[in-house]
Amino acid sequence: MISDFFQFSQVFFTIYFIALHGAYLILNALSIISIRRYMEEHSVNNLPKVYTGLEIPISMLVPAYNEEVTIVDSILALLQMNYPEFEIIVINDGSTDNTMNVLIEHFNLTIFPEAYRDRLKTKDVKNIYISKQYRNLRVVDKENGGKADSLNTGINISRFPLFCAVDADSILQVNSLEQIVQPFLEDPKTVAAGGTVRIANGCSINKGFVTEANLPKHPLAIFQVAEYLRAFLFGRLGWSPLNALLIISGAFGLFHKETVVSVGGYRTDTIGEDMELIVRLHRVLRKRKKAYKITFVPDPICWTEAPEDLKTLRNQRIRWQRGLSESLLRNRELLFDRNGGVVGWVAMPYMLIFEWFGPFVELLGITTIILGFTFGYISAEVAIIFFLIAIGFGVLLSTVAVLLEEMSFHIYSKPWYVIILFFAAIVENIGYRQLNSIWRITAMFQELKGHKPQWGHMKRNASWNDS
Amino acid sequence: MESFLDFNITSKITLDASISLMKYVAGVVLLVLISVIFMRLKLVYHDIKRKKFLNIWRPILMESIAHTPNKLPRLNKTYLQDFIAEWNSLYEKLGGISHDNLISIAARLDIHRHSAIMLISSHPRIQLTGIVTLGNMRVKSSWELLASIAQSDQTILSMAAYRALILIDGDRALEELLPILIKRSDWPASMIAKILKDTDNYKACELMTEACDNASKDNLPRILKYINALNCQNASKVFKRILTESHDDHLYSLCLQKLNDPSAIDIVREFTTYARWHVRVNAAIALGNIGAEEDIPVLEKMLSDPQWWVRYRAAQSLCKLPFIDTQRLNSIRSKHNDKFAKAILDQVLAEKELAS
Repeated sequence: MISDFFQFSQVFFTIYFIALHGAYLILNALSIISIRRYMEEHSVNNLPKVYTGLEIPISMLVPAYNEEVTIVDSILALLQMNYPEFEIIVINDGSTDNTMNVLIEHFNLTIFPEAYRDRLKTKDVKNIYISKQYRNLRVVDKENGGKADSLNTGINISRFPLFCAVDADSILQVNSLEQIVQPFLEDPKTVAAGGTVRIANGCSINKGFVTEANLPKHPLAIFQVAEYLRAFLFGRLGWSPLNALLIISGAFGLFHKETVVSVGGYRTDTIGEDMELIVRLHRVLRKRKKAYKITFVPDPICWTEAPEDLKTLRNQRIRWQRGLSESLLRNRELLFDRNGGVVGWVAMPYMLIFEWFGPFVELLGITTIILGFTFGYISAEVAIIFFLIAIGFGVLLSTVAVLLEEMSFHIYSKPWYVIILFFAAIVENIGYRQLNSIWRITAMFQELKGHKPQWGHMKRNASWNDS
Repeated sequence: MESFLDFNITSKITLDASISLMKYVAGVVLLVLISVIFMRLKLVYHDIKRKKFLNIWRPILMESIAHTPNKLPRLNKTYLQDFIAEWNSLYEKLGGISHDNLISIAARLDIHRHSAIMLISSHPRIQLTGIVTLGNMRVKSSWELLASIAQSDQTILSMAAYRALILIDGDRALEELLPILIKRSDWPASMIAKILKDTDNYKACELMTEACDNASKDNLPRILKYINALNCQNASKVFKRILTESHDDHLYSLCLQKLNDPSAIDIVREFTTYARWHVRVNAAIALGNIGAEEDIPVLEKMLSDPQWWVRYRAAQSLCKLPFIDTQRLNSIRSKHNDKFAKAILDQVLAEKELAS
């Protein structure tokens, strides 16, 4: 009986891992096709860059909570964006530090009698300020309500048809807006677009912009570079042509404001408000039978600091898993819905089976094989083969991500970085990935126990070279 | 059923398949490593050679801005793409006489011939470079080929070909390709507006307004967008006709946006109470452009509109009217009972003060 159980487990887990990695490989193939086409069509942008006034103006929403150290540099960098018409709205979410005073002083802010309209219900707005120095900069001072509440406030006050949600610590490129708006110009059905997020640790930064892409020194951050490549270049690029993209990073995303307002804005009772909004957009727009597009722009247009200590990383991953879980749960109607299309019939089940439940199966598989081997139900040969499959495919996928990067943007100019990255892509599959799975399972248990999700405070190291 | 549950057999099959699979996986990972190294070496090698090549040609191209050099070095065809990219980039940055000099250098190096060959490439990137270069070089002999690409299904290539034709002969391209321009719903309006700015504004406006007469319901909004982007001075007749004869809210909004003809004031007034707020917003804007003294009460009423944007534009239009000063605006504010009207006027007055 026990022997049968281990024999069954062995077959089940092997098939599961092959199915999981098979799904990844299909996404891989789709990504390679997408990136080749994208590079062909967009790499030579020889069309003239003269603005005509028909470009869609953009409101950039920057929620800030206790960001007194970095906020001024972040805003100064955003003000330098290359784009004909945009405004910046900083939302001070009841910071307990000196964020508001720093902003008032540096940007010469004055209270402005704005006729505020609360289309989306939010915490009370205390004051609205306008910069005397930069006319396209406004700051909202409000009661603390979290990131989603701040973004909703920003949406209420924004003037333009598109809004761009930006984290206060995101580092953008001068042309980030020009690039992320392209899907909206190319297809008016576009309601949301997201870009690739890269790790800023180790990079050279000048006046708020990345001047040279370098690899971080800390191994944990290097693993995250490899992990982000895999997540963005496959995870997102693969789904985009199927119009089944379920995540747009909260660090940098562009949205059609009226559509977002029509689905109720950001949910304030979820920790993964960025993903939840995208899944809800799919669900509601499909229900309304409205033609829409949610697109991914593969250009590296946003940089963010990665945690370099296990505690912060653990908290971040727990938040992500809780976000994923809440997004799927709150929009479960979309799963196998009659009008669900590729999202409801492929992307959602994929997310549920492989991303949400995957860590559990993965660890259960490893534990079962180890137990089976220890008690003599599974031979050493079989156990080794199992681990090779579990890790081997992961290695293949991570290394292909490095290849894809080399085929497209090759942002790391120093050749030895590519070799380091290649080996990091191999090593991250042994230990780092399993650690992630444990954290993700922790998140699931926390959710079962009814623990309220906590806002994580990023421990900032600013481990880039500010010149 | 029994044989399915015979795990020993299933395990054996799984095991054998797994071993073979892993061999392939290891092989592919090795292949990926070799490819990554090879691609990087190629990139570094090409980069060094490219820099060396551009170090020769950049000064020559820069020098040509002032005068055309008598003697040119031989162009290494391996770096033809790099040369053309550099040439196009410089061309887009400069204007006037330097364009003529750059074209003359490119012609001496036979770039037009190479670019024409690029049009038949299977890579869109190379095709696009060829199209852009032929346009910038004003190569008349490529007209037919470019015109056929302009009619192809590929959005970016067809649009680039259209622009190249505009650069080669603006008037001819406008006339011959107007039916295509009107039909292409996949060409982003902002991009086309950029392209049309390179044409004779009077001619483009004349053709666009004429096209409105026979345009289909689907194409008319697009033409009106181009008319607005070109700031056509001759469009008021078309706008007035559409506002009185059409039954389409979107068309009303497009026509009201740029309506600058005082004789249309009665038509505009009718739209200030229109059911759709998008139309009311544009009616408020139009009143700011052509409104008279008797429109002040109309705009005052619009300050209490349920829609924020209507109130905001009405307040802006009130401030914009030439015969109204801050004192009068303050008196309008104080006599208004509606708190929304007061709030929006406060905002616009504060904006006006900040701007002054």
